[in-house]
Amino acid sequence: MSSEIKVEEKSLRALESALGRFQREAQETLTAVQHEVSRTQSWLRERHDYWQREREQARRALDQARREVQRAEAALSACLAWRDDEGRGRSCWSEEAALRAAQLELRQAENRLSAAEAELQNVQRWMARVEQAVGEYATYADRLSDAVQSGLPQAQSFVRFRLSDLELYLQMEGGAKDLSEARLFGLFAHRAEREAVEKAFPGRVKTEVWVTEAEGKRGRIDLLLPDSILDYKFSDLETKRPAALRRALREVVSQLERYRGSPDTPQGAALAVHFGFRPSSDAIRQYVEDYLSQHSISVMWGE
Amino acid sequence: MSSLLSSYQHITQAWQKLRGQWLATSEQWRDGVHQRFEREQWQAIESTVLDYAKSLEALAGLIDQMQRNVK
Repeated sequence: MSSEIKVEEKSLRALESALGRFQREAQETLTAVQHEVSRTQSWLRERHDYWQREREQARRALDQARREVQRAEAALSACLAWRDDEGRGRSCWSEEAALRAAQLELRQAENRLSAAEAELQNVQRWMARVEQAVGEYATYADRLSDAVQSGLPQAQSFVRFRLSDLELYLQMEGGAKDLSEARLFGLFAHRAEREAVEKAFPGRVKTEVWVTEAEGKRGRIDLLLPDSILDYKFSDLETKRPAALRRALREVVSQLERYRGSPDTPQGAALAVHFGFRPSSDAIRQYVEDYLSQHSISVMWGE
Repeated sequence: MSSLLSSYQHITQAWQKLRGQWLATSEQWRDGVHQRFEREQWQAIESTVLDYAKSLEALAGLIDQMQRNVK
């Protein structure tokens, strides 16, 4: 049994590491793609601006070419109309050549303008297509980013929790040499409570529920009901000095309020804490109940 | 090779490594907790990563086409 658990433990540790590596690599990919998408969009805007400038230049060149054609036509007309004193005309070969050259320039300017307009429209079409594709990509990138921020750490925590269970088995088999009694007991008690609840209320309660707390941290609720949150505590309150008891209770309040403030828990959920050890002192029990009731936390005592 | 295609290859290779480790671990870890991990954690991660890789591949293809078409 112990050797099988050790094999499982080794394999789980490898999975935990692999989850961590993938988390880093997924984040690297998200960052690299974001950078490349920004660079591509910037390049497209630059091409758009370039073809807009080309179109404006082509328009000005076309206007100029039209004026040149008009000037050449006027010069040719003047030449053709010209007569000397004896009514003879003169050769208009150079005016005709100038007109042909101006007309050629005009056609070239028209072609240049149409080419610039076509390229500009092409860039605009691609900008729209890329914009749409980036929007579609962003939906899945956001989901992966959420997985990097919370899903993968949560999976790692799950594996770690399983490892702590295995640690418990191994320590129990090996006589708990390296594990403090308190930690061993805490692990065992949480596991026993979880199994008892799951057996008694199959499908009706959720145990070990991972939720997002403030600032994206993750917390694990021991027991989540549709309208309330329950946490188990197995420390012996009776052995604590007053200052340590107050600290422990402050931590209980803080922890449960973080759970209640989580977007993953029912709004306005009632809070309760189950102390596995019931202090024999009425005064301590009363103090704990009074302290926690000020924070609307119910107290249950183990027997 | 475009930078996006390189990113696509990076994430798919990283995913194959993680998936390989998951399959290896699954061979050793065969209790109810494993099934719960698979149901509550793994399936969501797998679906997210595969959808992401598909969308990145599509984007890389489109941008590659765009770079060949825009002067």
